[in-house]
Amino acid sequence: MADKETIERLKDQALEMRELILKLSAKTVIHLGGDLSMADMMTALYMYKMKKNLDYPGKWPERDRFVLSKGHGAGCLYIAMAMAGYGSIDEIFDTYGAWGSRYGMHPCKNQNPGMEVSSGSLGHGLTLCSGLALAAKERGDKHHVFTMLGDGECNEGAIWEGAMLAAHYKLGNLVALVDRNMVSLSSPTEEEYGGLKLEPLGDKFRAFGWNVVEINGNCMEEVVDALDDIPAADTDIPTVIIGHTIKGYGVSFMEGTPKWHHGMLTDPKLLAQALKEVRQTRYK
Amino acid sequence: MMKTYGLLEKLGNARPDLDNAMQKYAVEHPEFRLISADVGRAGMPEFIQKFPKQYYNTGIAEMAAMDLASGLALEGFKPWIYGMSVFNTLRAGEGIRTNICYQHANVKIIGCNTGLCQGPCGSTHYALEDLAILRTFPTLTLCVPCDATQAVKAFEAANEMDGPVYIRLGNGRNESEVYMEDYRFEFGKGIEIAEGEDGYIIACGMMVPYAVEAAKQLKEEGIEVGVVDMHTLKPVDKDLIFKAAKKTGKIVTVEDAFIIGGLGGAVCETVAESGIACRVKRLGVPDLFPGFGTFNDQMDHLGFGVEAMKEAIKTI
Repeated sequence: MADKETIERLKDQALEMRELILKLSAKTVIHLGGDLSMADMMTALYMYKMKKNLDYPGKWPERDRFVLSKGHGAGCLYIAMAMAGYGSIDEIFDTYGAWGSRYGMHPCKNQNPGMEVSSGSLGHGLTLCSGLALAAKERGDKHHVFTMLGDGECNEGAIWEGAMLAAHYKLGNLVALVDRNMVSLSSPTEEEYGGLKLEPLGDKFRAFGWNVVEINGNCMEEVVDALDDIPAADTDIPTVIIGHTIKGYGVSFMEGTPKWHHGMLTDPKLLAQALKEVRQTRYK
Repeated sequence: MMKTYGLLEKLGNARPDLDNAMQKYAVEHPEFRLISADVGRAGMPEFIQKFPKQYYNTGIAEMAAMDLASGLALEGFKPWIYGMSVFNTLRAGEGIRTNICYQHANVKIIGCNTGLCQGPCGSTHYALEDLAILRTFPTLTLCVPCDATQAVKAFEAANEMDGPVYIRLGNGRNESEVYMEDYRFEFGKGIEIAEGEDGYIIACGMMVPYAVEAAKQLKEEGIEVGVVDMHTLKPVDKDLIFKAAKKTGKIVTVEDAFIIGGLGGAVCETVAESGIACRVKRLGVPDLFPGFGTFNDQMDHLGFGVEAMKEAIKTI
């Protein structure tokens, strides 16, 4: 368990990440509902858990890998990376979506070589990460491969191909986090009219041979505990951390609704209210 | 003028030849991996038996094969995928496009059992649109070897390249060998098997030996037809197309695939933008789903065999 000082620091950073997400959404279209729900897990990954070496020229071979399988959460990823030392917040705000920018709605490693992979087409991250993890395992490397899945994304058949494959090849160095915010683009995931029901999601991964951890993904203490407890890279069972989150977390008018899955927060009054509320949520 | 075998005079077997080539390559390159979606045993059985640690079977999950290969390649491995072309390109086409080509992942793919050489399998298994689909993917090299020997040359050339390559085989067994002499193989450089005066047949893959046969029969009638083995559809050899167009103003294209968007499409696009006055007739599978039948039946009924080529040269 991390000390209280670390947890408080991470909570401050998660707040800063949310504020930046909201401000970015005032300038451009991002998927802010899901960005806000996964911000705590992204903060803990980038500012606490993942091994990195900013002094290494190029990509440090021993780094932990991260792939944003839910590639539409790119806004949150860019901000997390910039806060962790990869890129600058100013550049994101100044160039997002423009011709020649490193930053667009879905991560692109051609434009931004700092990215591990390009993503955005849902369902691919888990199997692609299995390739990264299998390569590491065959070489005896000790790093982990992390990927963030959206919950709606788990309707994709490719996710379950990846789930079978990772268990089959004993990829204990693979950790999938699910941003289980219960809402996809159009509707709540468990409603009759809302996609295909995912529950019991944990049992499904368990049946596929995974180590399953279910946490409150908006509680920094639980997120940090779960990341502290992941198995060593040379073990045999892949881990999924299902982070139960709230879509639009911290902003009353965004929470739990598909309405803010993506969009822009152009109304200055609403932006001010949202910024105030995420701060209140941090200290509640 | 290249010396060639007669049609079905000498048969080759691309699958076991590639199996052998992979075994040699795997010894020298420990990072080589073969991946297949459960069809590996049909293609590379010896390799799988002798190199089990360098083989991954994703089960009947073609997209998983593409995505897994991409991840391995991004970490420096040299994965080759062996799979049925119709499923590679339709079920898992997005994997090739987005997770291999877009990522600049150094993945090589062999598409087997293509076109109509599947015999009685039917249109679920005929890969007819693979050429048209793959031609549109940026960064991809698309090669359709004409025989087993060329398939091995393409394998070796692909290993020298950093970037995605797709090699489309026919059935990979008991198919005509084309060349009697050795030659230099290079992606993007078509081979002018015979020079023409009265027209050119531009063929790819297993249609090349049939094109050679058509040219031979036409010569007996006094018609001098050139033959081009256009083994690379992307990048296509524009200079060779220009030459054929300029010299004779008459081109027939032949492929065992839909005529929309494949070799015929590539040749038409090239000719149309060149400003050269040239008629082109595309032979291949017309815009329909073929039924069952042997390859000979398919060529006869769908109109892209030797007789159809001769007829086209005479009538356009």
